[in-house]
Amino acid sequence: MAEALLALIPAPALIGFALLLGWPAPLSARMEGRLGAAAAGGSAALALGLAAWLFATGSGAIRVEVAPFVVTGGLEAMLALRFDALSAVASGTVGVVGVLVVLYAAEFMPREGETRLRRLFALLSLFLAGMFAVVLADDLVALFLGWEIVGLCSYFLIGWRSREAAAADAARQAFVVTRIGDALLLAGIAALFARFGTTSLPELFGAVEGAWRGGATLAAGAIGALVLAGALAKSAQVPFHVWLPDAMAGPTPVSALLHAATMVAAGAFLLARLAPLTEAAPGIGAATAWLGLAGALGAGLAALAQRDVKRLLAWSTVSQIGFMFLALGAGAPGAAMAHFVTHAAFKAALFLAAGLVSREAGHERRLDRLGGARRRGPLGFWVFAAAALALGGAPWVTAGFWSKELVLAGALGAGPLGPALWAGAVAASAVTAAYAGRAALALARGGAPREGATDGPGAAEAAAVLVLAALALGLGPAAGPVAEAVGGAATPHLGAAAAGIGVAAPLAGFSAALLAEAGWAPRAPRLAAAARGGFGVDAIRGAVAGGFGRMVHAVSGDPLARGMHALAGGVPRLAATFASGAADGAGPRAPGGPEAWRRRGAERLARFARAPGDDLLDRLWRGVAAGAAGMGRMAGRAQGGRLRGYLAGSAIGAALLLLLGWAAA
Amino acid sequence: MILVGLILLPLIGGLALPLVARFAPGAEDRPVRLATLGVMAAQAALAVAALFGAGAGDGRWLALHRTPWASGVGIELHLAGDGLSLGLVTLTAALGAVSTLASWREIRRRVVLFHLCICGTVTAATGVFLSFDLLLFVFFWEGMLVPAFILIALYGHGARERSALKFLIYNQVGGLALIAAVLAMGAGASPPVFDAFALAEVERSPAAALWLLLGMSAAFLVKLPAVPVHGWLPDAHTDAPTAGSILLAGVLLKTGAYGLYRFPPMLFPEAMVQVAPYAMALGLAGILYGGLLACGQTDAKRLIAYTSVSHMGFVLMGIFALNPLARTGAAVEMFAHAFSASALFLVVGALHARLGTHRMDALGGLQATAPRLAGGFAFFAAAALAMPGTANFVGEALVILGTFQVAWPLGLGAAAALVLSVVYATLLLRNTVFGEPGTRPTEDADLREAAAMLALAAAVLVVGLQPQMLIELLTPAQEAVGRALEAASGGG
Repeated sequence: MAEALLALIPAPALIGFALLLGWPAPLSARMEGRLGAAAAGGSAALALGLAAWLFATGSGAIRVEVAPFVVTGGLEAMLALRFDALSAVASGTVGVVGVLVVLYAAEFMPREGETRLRRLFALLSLFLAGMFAVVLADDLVALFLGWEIVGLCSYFLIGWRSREAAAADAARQAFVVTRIGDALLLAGIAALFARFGTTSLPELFGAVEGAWRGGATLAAGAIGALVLAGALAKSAQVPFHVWLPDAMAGPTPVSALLHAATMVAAGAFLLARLAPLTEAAPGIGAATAWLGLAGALGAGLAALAQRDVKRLLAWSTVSQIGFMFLALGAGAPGAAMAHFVTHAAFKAALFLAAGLVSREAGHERRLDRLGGARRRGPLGFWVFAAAALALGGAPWVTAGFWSKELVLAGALGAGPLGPALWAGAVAASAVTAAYAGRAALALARGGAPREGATDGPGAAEAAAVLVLAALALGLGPAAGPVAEAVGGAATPHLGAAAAGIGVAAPLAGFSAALLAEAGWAPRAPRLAAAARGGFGVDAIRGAVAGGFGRMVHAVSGDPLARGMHALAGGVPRLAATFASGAADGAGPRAPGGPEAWRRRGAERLARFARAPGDDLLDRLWRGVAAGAAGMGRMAGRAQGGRLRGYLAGSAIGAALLLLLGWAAA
Repeated sequence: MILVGLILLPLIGGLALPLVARFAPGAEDRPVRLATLGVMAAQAALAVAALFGAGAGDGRWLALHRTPWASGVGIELHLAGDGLSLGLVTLTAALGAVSTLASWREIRRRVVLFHLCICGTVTAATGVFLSFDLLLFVFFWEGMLVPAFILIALYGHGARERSALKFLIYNQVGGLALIAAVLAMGAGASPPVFDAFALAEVERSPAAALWLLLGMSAAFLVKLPAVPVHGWLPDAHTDAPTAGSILLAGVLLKTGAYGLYRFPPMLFPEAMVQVAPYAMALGLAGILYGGLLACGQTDAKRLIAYTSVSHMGFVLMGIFALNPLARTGAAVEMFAHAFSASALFLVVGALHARLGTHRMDALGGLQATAPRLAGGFAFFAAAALAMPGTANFVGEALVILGTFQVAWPLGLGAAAALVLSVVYATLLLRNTVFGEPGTRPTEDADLREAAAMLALAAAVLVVGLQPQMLIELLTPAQEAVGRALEAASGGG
C-alpha cells in the first residue's frame, strides 16, 4: 500500500503536465490555474499523507522499483524511489510550497497582464514532478533524471517572458552554469559506477562503507569533488553563484518556487542524500563547509548592499543555502534539512509578499521607492515583515531562529576547525538579520499611498501568503524533530555562552538595521559597490565567457577542415612538379607528340596548383565552373561540373588506392 | 526473401513514380508524393514484420538470404538482418516518409526525379544495412552517393553545386579506399571470396589486417564523419534541401557508423583493439570540436550540422571503447541522433520555406508567432542537449558510463559535451523561439509538418523513457561484436 502510494507521488504532477500541454481544446484561464493547482496539490497530498504515515507508525524506509530503466552490460539502472525521513521532509516541503505558489500564480499572473498561462502551468507541473523525482529517487540515474528535468524547466521558466532579451539571456546563463555542475555530477555517477558497479543508492552506500572508510583514496576525493561540484552549481554556491541574481528575470511566482524549496535547494538535498558518500570522501566535508560559509557571509553582505528587493532576496537565498552547506559539511545533515524546511517557508513568503507589495506600488522593485507599503497594502507588508523576522532569525518567536541555532551547533561540533566555522556563521547570522531588517524597514518607511491604488491581494494570493507566514513563524518547534529524524541532534548542544551569542547575533543585526534606518550607518561606498556587484561576479562571468568565446573564436571557420583542404591542395602541386620534371628531362621534341601533351598538362597543373585561394575544393570548383562554361551549349553547366568533379575525385581516390594496395602487399 | 523484398520495394516503387506522374496527374504532384509515402509505409511495415520474425532466420539473425551469383569470383547475394540492421532499415523508411512530408511545400519543380532520389537513397542505404557480401556492400555504398548528390546539386540552396561536389569528392576518396581494401581482401583469399563471414575466417598478418582496417575505415570515417575529414558535412547539410539534410543526417551518417560497428570487429578484431585508443581520442576530438564549432555559428542549419559532428563523435567513441555499455550506447545514439537531428532540420526547413532564410538573426520570436514550431524547436533542442527522458540521453550517458570503465579521462572529456550542447542549443533557441517576432507573419506548422514532428518526438520519448525495448533489439549485434573481440584478445 505504502509502496504503491510512493510510486504515485509524482503522478499527479506529470498528469497535470500532460493535460495542460496536450489537451486539444482551448482552456479557460481559470481552468488552467485549477489544473495546475490540482496537479501540484495531488502530489503534495500524497507526499504529506505518506510522511504522516511514516512518522506516525515510525516505520523504516520503504523502497519501490517503479520500472527498470536500462538493464544491460552490467548496468541495472532502476527507476527506484525511496521514502525515509529525508524524503518525507523534502517532498512534504516541496509539495506544500509548490501548491501554494501555483495557487498564488493562478491569481497573480493574470493580474500582471500575462496571458497564455497554459505553458506556464505545464512547466510548473513538470518542474515539480522533476523535483519529486530528485527527492524520492533511490537510484543515481533516477535522481539525475529528475535533476535535469528541473534544470530544463528552470530554463524555460526563467525565460518565460520570451520576448525580453534579458529574460532569454538570464535563462541561458542559469542553464549553462547549472549544466556545468550537471556534467560533473554525471561524471561522478559514471566514476561511481565504474568503481562499484551499481547506481542503486543502498548498494552504493554499502560498497562505499566497505571501501572508503578504512583508508580513503585520492579517487574517493575526486569522486566526492565531482558530486560536490554538481550540488554547488545547482545551489548557486561559491564559485557557481553568478547565475542566481539574473535569474530574477523570471516572473515572481517562478522566483519563489525556484528559490524556496526547489531547484536551488536541490543541491543541499543532494548532499544530504549522499551524506554517507561525501562524508567518507576525504576533504569533501571541509570543502563543503568552508564554501558554504563563504557563500553565507559573502552573499549576505551582497544582499545588504542591494537596492532592488528581488535581487536582495536572490542574494539572501545564496546566503541561506550557504548555511545549509555549512551544516552539511560539518556533518549535521539534520540541521541542514531543518533549515531547508524553515527557509522554504520564509523565503516563499518573502517572494510572494514582495510580489504583492511591488504590484501595489505600481510594479516598483527599488527598495527606496517601496516606502509606505504598510498603508498601501497591509497584508503584503505584514507578511513580508514576519517572514523577514524569520529570515533574520528573531529569537524564539520565529522558525528561522530554531533552525539557525541547529546549524550553529552543527558548525561548532565540526572537529578542530568547528569554532572558526561557528564564528563565521555567527557573523553571517548577524548580517542576515541586518539585511532582513533593512528590507522590512524600507517597506515600513513613510510615503503617501498611491492615488487610487486598489491592487489589493485576491483571495488565493492572500491565503497563500498567510499560510506561508504562519509556517515561517510557527514551524520552530518542528525544527528539532526534523533534524533528529534526518540525522543529528534535536536540540542544539551549546554552552551557555555560545547559545547566548547565537541569540545576540540576530539582535545585533536587527539593531544595526534600525540604527542605519535612523541615519547612523557607517558609509563605505566602495565596499557597498563591490558587495552590490556580488564581489566580482561580473569579473568571473566575463573571464569564463571570454575564455569560452576565445575558444569558439579559435575554431571559427573550421581550421581542421581547411587544413585538410590545404593539404589536399598539395597533391596537384606535387603532381605538377613531377610532371614538369619529366617534361623537362625529355628535352625538346617535335610539337604534337606525347611529350607536348605532357608538357601542356604539366603547365595546366602548375597553373592550377598556383591559383589563389587556400582551398583545393574551391579551386576545383572554380576549375569545373570555368571548364563547364567553356563547354558552352553542348553540355549543361551542372552536368559538366559533375563529370569533372567525379573525375577529380576518382583520380585522388585512385592514388590512395595504389598507395594502399602497395602498403597491404 | 523478405530481405530481397526490402531492397526491391523502394527501388521498384521509385522507378514506378514516373508512371504515376504520367497516368495520375494531380495538383502539386500529390499522387507522386502520396505514392512515395505509400512506398515508405510499406517498406517500414515490411521491416517491422522482419523485426518480429517474419523472415526465415536462425538464432543469431532474424532473417537470412543467400543466392549464389557469380560464384566463380566468389560473389553471392548474401543478405542478413538482425535487430541493428532491421532497426536501421525501419528508421530509413520512416525518415524517407518524413523527408517526403518535409518537402511538400519546398519542392515544386522536377518533383518526380526528387522523389525518385529519395527512393534511391532508401534503397541503397537498405542494401548497405543488409549486405554481407562485401562487393554487394560496396555496390550499395557507392550507390548512395548518386541520389544524394542529385538531391543537393539540383534541389539545394546557396552554393549547392559546390557543396554537392565537395560531398562527392570526400566520399569518393573514402569509398575508393574501401573498394581497395575489399578487393585486396577478396582477391587475396584463395579461392577469391567476398563473403564477410568467410573473410572473417581468413588468417592475416597483423600488418595486413591493420592496413585493411584503415582502408575500410577511411570510408566509414568520412561518412560518419570524424574530424578532420568532416569538411563536407557542414556545407552539404546546409545547402541541401530539407529532405536531403534529413536523409544525410538520419541515414547516410548512420551507414558510416553501422559499417564501423559491424565490420572491423568481425574482420580485424586484433587490429581494432590495436587502434582503439586512437579512435576513441578521435571520437572525443569530434565531440568537442563539433560542439565548439556549433557554438560559433550564425546560421541555424549550419549549427545543427556541426552538432552532428559532435554527436557522431559519441558513436565513434562508443564503438571503440570495446565495452558492452559503450557499444550499446553508440547504437542507441545512432537512432537518437537520427530522430533529433532530422527533426531539427525539419523545423528549420519549415522556417526556410516560410521566411526564405535560416540565418539566425532573421528568425526569432516564434513563441509569439508560431507556438507549434517553437514547441518543436524547444523539444528537439532538449533532445539534442541529451535531456534525460529523450533517446539522446540514453545513448550519450551509456557511452560516458562505458568509457569511464575503460578510460576515465576520455569519459570526463565527453561529459563536457553536456555543457557545449547546452550552449549551442540555447543559442539556437534564443534566436528562434525567444526574441521579438519579425515583421513578417510566420504561419505555424501545418498538419503534415506537425504529424512528422509528432512522430519523431514520439520516437525520441519512447526510446528515452523505455530504452530497454530498443536495447534488447540491439543486443544480439552488440554481443556478437563482443564475442569476436573476446576471441581475438583470448587468442592473442
